[in-house]
Amino acid sequence: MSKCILCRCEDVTLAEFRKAYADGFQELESLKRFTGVGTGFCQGKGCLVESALELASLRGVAPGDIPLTNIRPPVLPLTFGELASLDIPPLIGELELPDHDTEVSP
Amino acid sequence: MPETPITIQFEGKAVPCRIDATVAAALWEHGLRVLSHSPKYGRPRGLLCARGHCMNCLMRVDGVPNVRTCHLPVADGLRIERQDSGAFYAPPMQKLLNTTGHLLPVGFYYKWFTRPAAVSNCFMKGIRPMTGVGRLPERENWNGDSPFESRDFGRLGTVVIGAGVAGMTAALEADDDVLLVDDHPDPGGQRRAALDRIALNTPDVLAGLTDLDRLHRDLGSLASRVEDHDGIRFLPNTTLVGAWQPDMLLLRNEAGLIQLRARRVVWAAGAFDAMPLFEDNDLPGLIGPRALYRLLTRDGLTVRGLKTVVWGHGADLWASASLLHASGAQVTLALDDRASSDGALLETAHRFGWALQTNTDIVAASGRDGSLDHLELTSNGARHEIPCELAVLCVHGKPTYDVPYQLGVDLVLDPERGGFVPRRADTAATGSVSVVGEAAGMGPLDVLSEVSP
Amino acid sequence: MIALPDGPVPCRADAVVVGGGINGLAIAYELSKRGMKDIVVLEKNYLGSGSTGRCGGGIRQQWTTEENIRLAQESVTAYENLATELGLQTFFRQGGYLMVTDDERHLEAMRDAVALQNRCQVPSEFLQPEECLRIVPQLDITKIKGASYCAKDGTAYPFSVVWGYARACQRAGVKVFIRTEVTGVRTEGDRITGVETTRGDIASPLLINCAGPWARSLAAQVGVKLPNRQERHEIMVSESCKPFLDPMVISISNGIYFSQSMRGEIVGGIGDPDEPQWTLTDDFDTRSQLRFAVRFSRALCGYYPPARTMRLMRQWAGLYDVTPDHRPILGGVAGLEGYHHICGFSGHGFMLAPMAAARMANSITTGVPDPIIESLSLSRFENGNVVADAFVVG
Repeated sequence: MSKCILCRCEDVTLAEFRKAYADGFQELESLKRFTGVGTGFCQGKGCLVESALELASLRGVAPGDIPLTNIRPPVLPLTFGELASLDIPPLIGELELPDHDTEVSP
Repeated sequence: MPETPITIQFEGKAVPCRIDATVAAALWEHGLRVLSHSPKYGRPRGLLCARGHCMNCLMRVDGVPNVRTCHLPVADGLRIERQDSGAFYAPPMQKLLNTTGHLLPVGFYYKWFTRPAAVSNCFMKGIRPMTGVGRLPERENWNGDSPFESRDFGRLGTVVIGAGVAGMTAALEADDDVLLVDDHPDPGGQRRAALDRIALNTPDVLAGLTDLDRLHRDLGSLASRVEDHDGIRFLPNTTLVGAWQPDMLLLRNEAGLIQLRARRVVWAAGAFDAMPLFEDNDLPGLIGPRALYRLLTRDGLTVRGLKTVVWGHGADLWASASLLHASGAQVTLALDDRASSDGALLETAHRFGWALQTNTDIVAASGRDGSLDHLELTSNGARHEIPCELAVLCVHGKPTYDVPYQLGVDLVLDPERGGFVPRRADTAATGSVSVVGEAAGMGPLDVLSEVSP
Repeated sequence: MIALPDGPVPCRADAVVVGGGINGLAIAYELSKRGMKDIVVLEKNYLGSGSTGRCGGGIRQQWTTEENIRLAQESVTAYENLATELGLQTFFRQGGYLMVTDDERHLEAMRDAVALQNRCQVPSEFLQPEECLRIVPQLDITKIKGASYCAKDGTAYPFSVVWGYARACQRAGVKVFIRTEVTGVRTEGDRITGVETTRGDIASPLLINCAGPWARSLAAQVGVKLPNRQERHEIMVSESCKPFLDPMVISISNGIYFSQSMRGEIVGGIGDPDEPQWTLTDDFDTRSQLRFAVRFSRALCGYYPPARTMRLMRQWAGLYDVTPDHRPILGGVAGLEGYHHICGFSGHGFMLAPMAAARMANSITTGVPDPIIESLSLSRFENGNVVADAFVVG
């Protein structure tokens, strides 16, 4: 049976995405976790734009109303062996001036 | 020196390879186009992005799982295996999975078999072995490619990622020292390499496509200026693999990892290939133009005599068709309803013998032995098929949004510009990050207007 | 599932629960089970967007104080039946917890802890390093001096637990509003009378503060001073492989934890002793750092050599809501009728939530005092009843 694939990494078809929407998952954050779109090896490079556009169409809103889900580092997967070979960078607080109140615990 | 001096082993079969090929390209030429199967429906998958983004080319190499073979140069004696091969994915099983797949609706594993508790536990135990992709490496392969080299470039001034028109322009216009990075061997990147190949093999074609011709010359002149510029250091064959706030970047090339901090980042890394949605749109053999440029100019793929289709619109359509032609493939052009009907362009197509169809839309792709066999299209209402083994689908690229997002640029979804782009031109430069060129949603020819004469 | 709200909140409710993570949804569900009607849950972002959705999903009984052990035991029992009760899989897998240490000085405390756990009927055992290999054959035991293991500990998937509770709430008539923020709390004298939100005001005699890292600032709005401080903790997920790791592995020497999810990915994190803490603001920094990726990778490769060729795919951060003794704060406060809080879980809220919700719901609906809630009440800090647990990691 032929399928129109929305997310290749997690094998989510367009029909399945629409069904999940009908099931009540109406935002990209929960749709992503329920269907799996954007959570596989490519982390959404192949499907997040398409999913967001489809969601805008299903909700009947302008594409600009669909925010991007949180995209996390790294951009490409890195082996633990490679990462272990790096020097340990300092804390982010030492890399920039903190703009929040902090109190270091004793 | 023989044309294919290297031999790799694919599931016990000896595969002769060109010296500059990647594993995935070498397998493709040998007719081994199904590199993996999809996790749920067992659908055949093959070369797609040629960039290390997707999971289609993940294979087990010398006992190490999940290796991206689209990036892996061939080496004598390399042992390659698919990670999921076996009877489970033989055609009869695939047919079964694809037909009954709708009986396993999305999220079924959340809702089924929750009662009673004993059944629920059984179900969980039962599905666990079906999850996961590669198998853990054997003890002798635990070290992989060790030791891993890493270098620290310290705190730099301006780092430009992407050496296309926009990236090279930004590098030339910077008022401090620049590190210019691209994953191709030369400034100008993959598009320049593609246009160079066309100019070298079939200069008449390029002459007939004036916009591409101009792009080619501009890329060439920018590249010369970059190479002559003392304040620009060009880092070839290097990919950005991570960006962390506030200003930390990690790059990777053959020599290992490079850690650095950048006072200013110019993101000029272009766009992802966008793949349209239609029936069986995930068949091996369907790729985008950017993958084509890499495969033919960097990854050692040859397409002599191959039946190919280039579908869609825009500069990338014409560049892909010309590149395929210059590489000896048979070309059919299927323009969609957004394609220009410029007489000069159509004239060029006729002159070089490219079968041409206009106003087409793809209905479905169809495969044989798991790989692309023909496209089904409608053209002015009439339905027909075009036999082909490789189809390049050319639509507006999807701007690369991941690094801009992570470095704090405010993005908005804009289908006219291909995806998630900086919300406003002035937010395209947020403090120390600016997004330019196709990465900001421009088309490949739009960036030309930024080039100073 | 909980749809985006298309109208204002109701103007009154029998109970308002602030926080749409596991604590808020669980207490709403447990209250509805005990007959309370007209319950409203308010979540300012999306369900599970706070600490719940960012955690590693670990559920263990191996603690060093009797109270923590008993609470955890009740929760494990709850998790064993939760999917059936809620009608949605939780992906609870009892693969066990293997807690190792590189430090000989920990061994006595570890043996004592196992003895205490056994007295509480928790089937944990103390292991020599070589014995760890029968549980995790690929473990590098060169530095390990000893370990404890409990086969009944496990992991679950936070989002499916959240959705399970949410759907169960919905079926029971609880109104869950996402993208709705509490902007103020109303009191009259010494009692709660309602809340103000971005979608209207709700009159209610009962306010249950399950706002996790934001509990402190919500409590401050009614004059309740919580000693909680918030810490960022980073976590990551790897590319997936076929099942290779049964238990969650934790090291109490360097604070690393890692396990294999039902999708085949390694999920894990490591604490950073140099992380700052927040006590004054609720504008938190949850950005991920390369520093974490490097520290975690070094620790992981040290214990689990096959990971060297596996890939880190995605890293993120969440917040621990930490109390001075690393134990939660439950119950109400004297002098403020109608206010309850369920917070301060210090990094183990996911595993204790079902128990905390059941006990709090009992206490609220019956008025019968609960000794565990009393010992975990805010007043313990005044009484000096602070006994910290030794086995806190992440």
